[in-house]
Amino acid sequence: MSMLRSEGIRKDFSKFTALAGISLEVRKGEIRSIIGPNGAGKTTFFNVVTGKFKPTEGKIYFDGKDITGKPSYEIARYGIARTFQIVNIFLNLTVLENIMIPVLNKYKKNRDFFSAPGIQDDIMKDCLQVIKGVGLEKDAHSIAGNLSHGDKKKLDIGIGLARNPKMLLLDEPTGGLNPQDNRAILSLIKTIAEKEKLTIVLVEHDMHAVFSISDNITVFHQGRIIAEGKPEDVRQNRLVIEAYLGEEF
Amino acid sequence: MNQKNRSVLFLTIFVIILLCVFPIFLPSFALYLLNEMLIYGLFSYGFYFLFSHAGYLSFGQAAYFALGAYSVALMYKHVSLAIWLPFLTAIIGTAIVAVILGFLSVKLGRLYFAFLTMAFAQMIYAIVFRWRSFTGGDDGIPGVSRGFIDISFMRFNLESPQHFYYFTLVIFVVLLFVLRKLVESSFGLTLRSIRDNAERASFTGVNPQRYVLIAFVISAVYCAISGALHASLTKMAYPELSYWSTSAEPIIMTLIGGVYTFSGPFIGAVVYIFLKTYLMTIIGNWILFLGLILLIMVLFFRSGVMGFIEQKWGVKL
Repeated sequence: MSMLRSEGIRKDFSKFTALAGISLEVRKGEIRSIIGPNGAGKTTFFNVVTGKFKPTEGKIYFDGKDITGKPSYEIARYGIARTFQIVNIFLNLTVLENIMIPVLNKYKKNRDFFSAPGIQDDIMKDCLQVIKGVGLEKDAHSIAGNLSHGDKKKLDIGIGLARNPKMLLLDEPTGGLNPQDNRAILSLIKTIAEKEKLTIVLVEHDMHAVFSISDNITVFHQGRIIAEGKPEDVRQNRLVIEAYLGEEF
Repeated sequence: MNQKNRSVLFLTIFVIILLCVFPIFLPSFALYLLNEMLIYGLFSYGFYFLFSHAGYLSFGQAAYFALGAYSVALMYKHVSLAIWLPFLTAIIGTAIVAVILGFLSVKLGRLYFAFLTMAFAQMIYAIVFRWRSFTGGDDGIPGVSRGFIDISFMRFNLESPQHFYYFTLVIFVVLLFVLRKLVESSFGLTLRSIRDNAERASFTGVNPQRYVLIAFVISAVYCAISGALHASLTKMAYPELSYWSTSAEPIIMTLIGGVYTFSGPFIGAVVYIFLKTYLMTIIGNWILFLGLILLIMVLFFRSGVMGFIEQKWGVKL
């Protein structure tokens, strides 16, 4: 059963072709990694899937529905959440408020003009659960901008999870982290995947993480897919070694 | 409720009581000024809601201030001296215009929003200025009534300065209470998430443009009500009400009072009108001093008067 299916996605920026026909399929419940050198089009692919960019050509289906070219807020409502390479959170709001935005949206309560959720509400309970899930319960009332880099990354994932998505796209979740935070984020991703039965697609440069966590790996190079398959197959692929992994891996 | 919250509540009630008893002993000119402060305070709250919570800087809220003023001026003159229809026309008419112009203005992001709101306001200025048969052109509409309130067989005439002051005060307090609720609501929080990071908000399922448009219409209605009160207070509606320099006034007031404090816009209006009136009588050319004040604000009190006090006392005011 496919969760995400892209057919011949092409994305041109004036004369530069960032994606030159990406067709891939991610199964429900799968953890898929997308790897490849810088500029291979990994983040552009995420941006096309989540509606930040419209593809020049091609189609994207999510959970059987055509989502090609839809605005990002609609795509979010279909059940796709994402995090960002550079931490992308609401810096001047508290951790709780950060999580509350997507949770309110899930309950269609963003437009509640004269009241905010009280401590007893389901909305608040959901928020606290998400905050606990990403391990930020001690900082629930801290301003997000004052968190450490690792905690900001966790919050970013929390915002993604808060809407109970069907699929989560993680763009370099361990980027710029110290080894300790790195391990914490990886185990967080594994826990989420098991507990929530989420489909996860991640872009990652930490190859040990990628090979330990993924069900399947897709390798991008210059806007194309040059290899795809189980981690052990990809590791031995000649093209992948030349383009990205190098001989020593 | 903790100690600090309680003292803020008491302070609020104290200020309201003070505003209630002022007319008993204030001379008529001072009462007029105080009335003007309430009206410009309301105008500033219109600007503040959109700027401080949604993060959209409008350079054209004067358009709605003027629409409110002209609506009541024309309605009092031609239709009814009871306040209901004139104020309803001001609110609904402005809201309709704001939906259309706001829809066009929010499309292109924050920077263009500032330009577009200013451009639309200047267009409204041109229309008001040119359409002499309807708006009186550059003469404006003199002799605007202050109307009356009729509830069943009772009738309150608002012509006297005291009555009109209390009328303004009631509207001011009610609208401020409503705004406070809006700011604290889920809607207010969603607006602040858009202010902080519109892209992130949209990836969580929020359509930022829709929310900013709603905030824009609410802001415009606040501006229209203050404009309507202004026309009644000064007994005039004139084209300059929609001019871009009028749009700058709530911006300056909010900056002086404190952009991110709830009491800031009103305190800013009080300080601004006080300085304007007294400096004008002492030195005449007060614009120079306004420049100086703004310079000092930007250099030393970037969070405004109330922001400064908040930091000193550690309370939310």
